[in-house]
Amino acid sequence: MLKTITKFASSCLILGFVITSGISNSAANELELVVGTGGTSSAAFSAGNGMSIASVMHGKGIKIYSYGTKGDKDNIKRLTKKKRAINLAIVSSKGLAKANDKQKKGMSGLIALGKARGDTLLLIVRNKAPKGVSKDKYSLAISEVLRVLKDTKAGKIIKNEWRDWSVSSGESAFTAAGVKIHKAAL
Amino acid sequence: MKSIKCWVTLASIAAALNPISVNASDFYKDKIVTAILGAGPGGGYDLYARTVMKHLVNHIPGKPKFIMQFMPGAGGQKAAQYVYNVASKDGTKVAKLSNMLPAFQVLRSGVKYDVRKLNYIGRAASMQYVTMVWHTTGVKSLEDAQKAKQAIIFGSSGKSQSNYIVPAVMANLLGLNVKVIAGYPGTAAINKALEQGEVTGRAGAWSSWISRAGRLIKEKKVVAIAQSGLEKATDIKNGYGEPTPLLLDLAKNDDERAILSLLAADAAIGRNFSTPPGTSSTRVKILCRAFDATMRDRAFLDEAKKRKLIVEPKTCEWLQKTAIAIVDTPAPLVKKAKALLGWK
Repeated sequence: MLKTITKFASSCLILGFVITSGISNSAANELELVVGTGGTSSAAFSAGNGMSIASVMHGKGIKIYSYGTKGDKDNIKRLTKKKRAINLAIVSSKGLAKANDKQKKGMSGLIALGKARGDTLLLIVRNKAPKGVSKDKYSLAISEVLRVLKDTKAGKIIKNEWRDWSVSSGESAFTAAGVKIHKAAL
Repeated sequence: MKSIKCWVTLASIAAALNPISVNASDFYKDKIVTAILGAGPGGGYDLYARTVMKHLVNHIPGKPKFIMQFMPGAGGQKAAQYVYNVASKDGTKVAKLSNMLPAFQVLRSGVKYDVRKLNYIGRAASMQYVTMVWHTTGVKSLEDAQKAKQAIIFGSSGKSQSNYIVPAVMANLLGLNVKVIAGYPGTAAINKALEQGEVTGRAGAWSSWISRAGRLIKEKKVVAIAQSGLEKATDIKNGYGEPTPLLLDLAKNDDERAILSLLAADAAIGRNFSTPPGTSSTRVKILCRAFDATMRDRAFLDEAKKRKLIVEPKTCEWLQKTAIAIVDTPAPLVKKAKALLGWK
């Protein structure tokens, strides 16, 4: 029962976001989010590209752009830095566990994306909204990111880029790393 | 009924006569064009790429959508190597790579790309470098700088960056009393250092000065003394209201001119866009013409103006010719240029 209510509420929230921001056709209102990935030959890089394509094809009011970084440590640093930070990052569960307490406070766990080299790849999000974006709009955009990533059609697109794509809640991995889960993912 | 048949026939003839646009429309419809950037989000590269891409896709038959892929590292070399060696060659990848690539190809060893094979699709703006000095130095022109007893201290982000190359040329070729402090993380940090009095000069792209430090120019906190590029911009004035000289025009002989051309060529390559080598010539042509149309598009020009972006377009043919001319610089001159910069 609680699950149904939550699902209904989140659908209403997304619908409300689409209606109020008038984003259906207007590119100007699209929120562009940057996801930190990894080296050009890494699984995270492929997954990030897939997410980017899927967001353009199936996302409403959001666009995800991928950012080739140096890996876990670099992603966490870029996600939690003061200025010009990235909004999302793909990190391994081992890499996430190495983040310090201050960094962990600035981020939340979203979803597990699949396994690469025996380690789970997790998607984390920066808690602070980008400059000029309200907290509510940012929160709704994150909900939309989650909706897209759980969408089966979007999943097929991402699988084309990274065949090990297999989303799950990742709750245990986030808890083990000491990172709180984003309210949209609960 | 007869008239419908007539129209159908005419449409078929038109389609047959213009196979490029028909095929392109088929190919790009529902496709996604990826813009690969040799820099991170938030800077000048990003601003230009997003603005151009937003309008470029509207001029590609089939109106594809676009995404951005940031790939900073090694002064743009990482993205260049990816575009040259890994990126798909089907016409769905557009790259905004460093303007230094042709110069690096001849000045640096071990580069894993060849700009001769890269397919340029056009240039949105030049990157005319303007040397600015802080107002308290009392230097208002290049002549003043040549006479100055106190060294002008330039901030730089690295030895391979133009903000190092330009002052190095001014010191070693023109004999200016100049010192360079390298190691600043970027333009914003150097601008801050200028305001704090840590450095007294910076050489930077004119477009960057206008969009990111327009306030300093407006408040006359910085004074332009020289410009570096292949073409002279007449609207860049020094502290006396006179047009600033082009470093290239100060060459004393042909050798010096050739060296200065090589080191200033990156300004001409400017805010360039390209596709990976091996992309079919038909698709390169489509992208080239779409780029040209974008540069004339009123909506693009209005947005560029709003974002304070300079638009000085050049065609893909011009860009390709210029890039090849740079990499064909004779070896003895390359050696002299390297010595001038203190590069091995």
